[in-house]
Amino acid sequence: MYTDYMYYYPASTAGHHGIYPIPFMPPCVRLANAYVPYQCYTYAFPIEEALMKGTLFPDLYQPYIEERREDKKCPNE
Amino acid sequence: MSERIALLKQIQAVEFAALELNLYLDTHRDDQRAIMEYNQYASQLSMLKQQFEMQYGPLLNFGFSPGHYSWNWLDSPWPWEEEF
Repeated sequence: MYTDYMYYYPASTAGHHGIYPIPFMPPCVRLANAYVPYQCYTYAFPIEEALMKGTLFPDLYQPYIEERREDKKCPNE
Repeated sequence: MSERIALLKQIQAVEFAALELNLYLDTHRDDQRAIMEYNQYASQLSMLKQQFEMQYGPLLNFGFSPGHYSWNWLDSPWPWEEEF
């Protein structure tokens, strides 16, 4: 179905993407539509650490850290 | 840390890992590696729970171990009395 789907995977999943028939993002994204990237299992936290962090998957570990307003600039700015 | 608490913590960590892989597999049903890891954690979990219940009494009602005489469901500590 998606013959060149490897293109859609992030480089961090190299060597692993062969098993997924589903692309990381849809092949034809449309502007003004929201998409959820397909999760790729790269590696797991040690399980005691996972329990403390609230996720087994490092890609999903996004702790909320309060920042000051002036720190919130986009890295490209 | 007492051996009882150490075992309880190990059960929590293994159960959490099994649950995470369970949820992951709901959207990645063909991921052989995740299935393998899920099965490893699930079987490890059932062994740990069995071990815990044999040594320290039931974790759940209608759980993995039969009721003892006397009825050890009433034994302390209760979950809110645990000190980790």
